[in-house]
Amino acid sequence: MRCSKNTITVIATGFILAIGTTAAMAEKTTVRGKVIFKGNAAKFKRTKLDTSKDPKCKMSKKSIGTYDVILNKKTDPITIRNVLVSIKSGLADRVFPTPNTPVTLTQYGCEYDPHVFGIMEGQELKILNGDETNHNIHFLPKNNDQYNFSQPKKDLEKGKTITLDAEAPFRVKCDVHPWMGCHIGVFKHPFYDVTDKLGKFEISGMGAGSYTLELWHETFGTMTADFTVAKGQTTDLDIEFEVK
Amino acid sequence: MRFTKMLCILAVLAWASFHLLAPPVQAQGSAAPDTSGVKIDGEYGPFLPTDISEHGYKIDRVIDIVHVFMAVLFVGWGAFFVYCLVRFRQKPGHQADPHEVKAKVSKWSEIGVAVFEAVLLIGFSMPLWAEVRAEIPADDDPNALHVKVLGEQFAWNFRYAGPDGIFGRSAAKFVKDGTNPMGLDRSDPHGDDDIVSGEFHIPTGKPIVVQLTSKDVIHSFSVPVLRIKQDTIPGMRIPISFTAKKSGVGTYEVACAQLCGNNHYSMRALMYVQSQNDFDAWLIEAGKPPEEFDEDDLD
Repeated sequence: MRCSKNTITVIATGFILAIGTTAAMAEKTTVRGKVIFKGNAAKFKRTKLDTSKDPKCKMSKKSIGTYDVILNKKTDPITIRNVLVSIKSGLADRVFPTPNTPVTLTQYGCEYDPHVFGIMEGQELKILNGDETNHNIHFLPKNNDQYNFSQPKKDLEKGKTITLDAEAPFRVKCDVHPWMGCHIGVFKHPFYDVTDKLGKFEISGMGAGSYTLELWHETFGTMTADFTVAKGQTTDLDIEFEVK
Repeated sequence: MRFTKMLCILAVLAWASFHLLAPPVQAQGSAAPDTSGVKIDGEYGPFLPTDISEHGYKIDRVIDIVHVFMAVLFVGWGAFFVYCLVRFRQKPGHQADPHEVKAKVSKWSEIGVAVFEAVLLIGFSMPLWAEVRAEIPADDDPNALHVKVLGEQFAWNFRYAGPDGIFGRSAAKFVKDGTNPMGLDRSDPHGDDDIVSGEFHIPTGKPIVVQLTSKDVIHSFSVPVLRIKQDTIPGMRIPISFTAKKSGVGTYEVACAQLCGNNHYSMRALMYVQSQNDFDAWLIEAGKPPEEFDEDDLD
């Protein structure tokens, strides 16, 4: 059996990439930290949303709150939740395999869970409806298809699965319940995280080197922060997000 | 001819007995629980639903007259059609005559139908519409409750002026999904107390003026129990007015009657018709600033 030149090239490239990726992952490099709010926190109060339009929303959860700004005011310093932190530069032209496991977006209690999340290009996004009411999923991207479809029945099994191309964070909304919205960032690499309730994030496996992080928030916008991580090390990085 | 007369009489009797003798379907709450989970008041079935508006009987009267007239026409023309099929069927030795038949009966019956339709339009519908439009209270009429209604794909938003009775400024630039769907300018002192709700609350016995508009496409504000149906058009402010009867207290539905998109069927809101005291209590409750949401509520 004869192999063509192209076939050998493809196999060799794949082999080199696999070794490179595995080696990079093995270094267990990590950057972690908090996103700290810098500004007048009193201006931002999270309030309960009026979901009276659809009584079935109230059946799932007793109440839901606004999402545009969620500050963790119980700790000092005050931190920000739902900041999408990702590596913007420093990865050069490395190619990363697409995870086989899908990311799940659930509509439950007439809100999206998660509210902000990242996904890799080509990775499956599974959309489920956990409510006994109709939801309409309306994507508002610039590059990807503007998906716009309904999920009229409760469906926590099959749902609808789609894949996306890389794109900066964009909004997804429900046309039936105007308060419902979430944001998706699509990346060519797996190095992203969303700050949790305490404003913490952690990204691992990028390999030793110098990188630039991008922080994106749906209300506050974007900012960047540089960091360096050594082989097998963890870099702690608390970042101040200045809000005017 | 005897056969035709019998057929006509039987058809009219059948229609009349169906319309007049059949009891209304008692379907209280049957339409909405599947969709909204809330018990909907009123009677719904093959005929007109419950009427809770003071002007509704006039609408119903015109609808009834039109339906009776249409039934007579339907049966009459239908019987004539059947008669012609039988009378002029193909028979051996007969040949079709393509020339126009000139008969006084058909001529005068057509004139009669045209006159009756003109009477329906000029004698009933137009005066009724003129009356409905003339009854709309002015914007500054303190005896009326003024509500601004904004339709959007696929929701209704209801705005009340609050304790000062004056609507504040609003603009598209302030619109924010979920928290400010009607674009209120909260810095305006008159707008600070404005109330925006996803529910339609009205008191009984008081004239209500609804100013309709749309954020995106053409919708239609339809409240069957109030005998109200009016298109909402982007860029236009269309007023409608009605008064709910004192006996109309209950929970009903507002629907969109104009196909407006793929979730048109979801575009509905609950309408609470309340006594003045209950309405005032709701207004006070709805006017309170939104409660702070505790993150622990999620746990």
